[in-house]
Amino acid sequence: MFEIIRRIWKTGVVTQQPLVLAAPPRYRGKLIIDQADCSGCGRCESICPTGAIRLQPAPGGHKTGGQKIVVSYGKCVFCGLCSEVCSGGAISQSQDYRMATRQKNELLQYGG
Amino acid sequence: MAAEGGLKVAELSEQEQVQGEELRRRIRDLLGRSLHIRHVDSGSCNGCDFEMSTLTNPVYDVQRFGIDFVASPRHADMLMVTGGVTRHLEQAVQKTYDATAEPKLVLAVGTCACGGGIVGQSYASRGGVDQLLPVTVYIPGCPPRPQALIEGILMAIDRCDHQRMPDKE
Repeated sequence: MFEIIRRIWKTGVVTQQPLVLAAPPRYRGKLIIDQADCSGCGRCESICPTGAIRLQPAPGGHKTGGQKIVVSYGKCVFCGLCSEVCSGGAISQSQDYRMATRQKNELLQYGG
Repeated sequence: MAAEGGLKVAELSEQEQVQGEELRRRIRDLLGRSLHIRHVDSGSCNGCDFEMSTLTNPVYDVQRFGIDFVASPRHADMLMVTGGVTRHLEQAVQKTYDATAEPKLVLAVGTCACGGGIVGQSYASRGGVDQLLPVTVYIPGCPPRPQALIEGILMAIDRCDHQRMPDKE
């Protein structure tokens, strides 16, 4: 203990970990949407507790019957249910937590 | 500092030190000496509030950059609003905003403050701070990590820079 106090006294640093840490592996952050794997089943849309995920009609979504996944981070509570129920593996969760934005429309994420 | 006996001592990388100094310089430049933040709870579940309270602990320690939390909006440059605005706290949020000194910055902290979140928009909830106040930066997350909050504060100061530019010249 004296060793620790001595070190704090000498270095002026109390914390043992570096300041910027990557999020832990189980952290649920921003979604990764791979529109090419989406079958358009709509399970994510129906299980989402806040209605953050929608399937929006979009041109060019050939496999999904002309639909595209849209996530609103103004509603998403990062529960992870959508990535659990996704049948084709189109939705997965990343550990990315840096989502601050100045424009409200940037809170929408479109499947790409 | 080199670790001895298995104890790892925190070490700021050169980049972090440069960023910290840059932040300190910008705050001093824009606001005189420091950035003072008033925390406004507009009906949150306290998740975001807990994350915000970690900002002043020894791990994140934003006070070394000249950022501090104050007890009155009259002393504050920035409001950090947590929670979708409930009908009961609507007036309180508006009064707090009116009492804040210019230039006012508003941060919507958490998913609820950004767009209603799990509560959404109803007779009891406005569904987001931006329905009531002009929001500078949105920080989504349920709750957002303290690092995300620091990033949001940085973005807001950047915008402040652009706003203040015409006045300076």
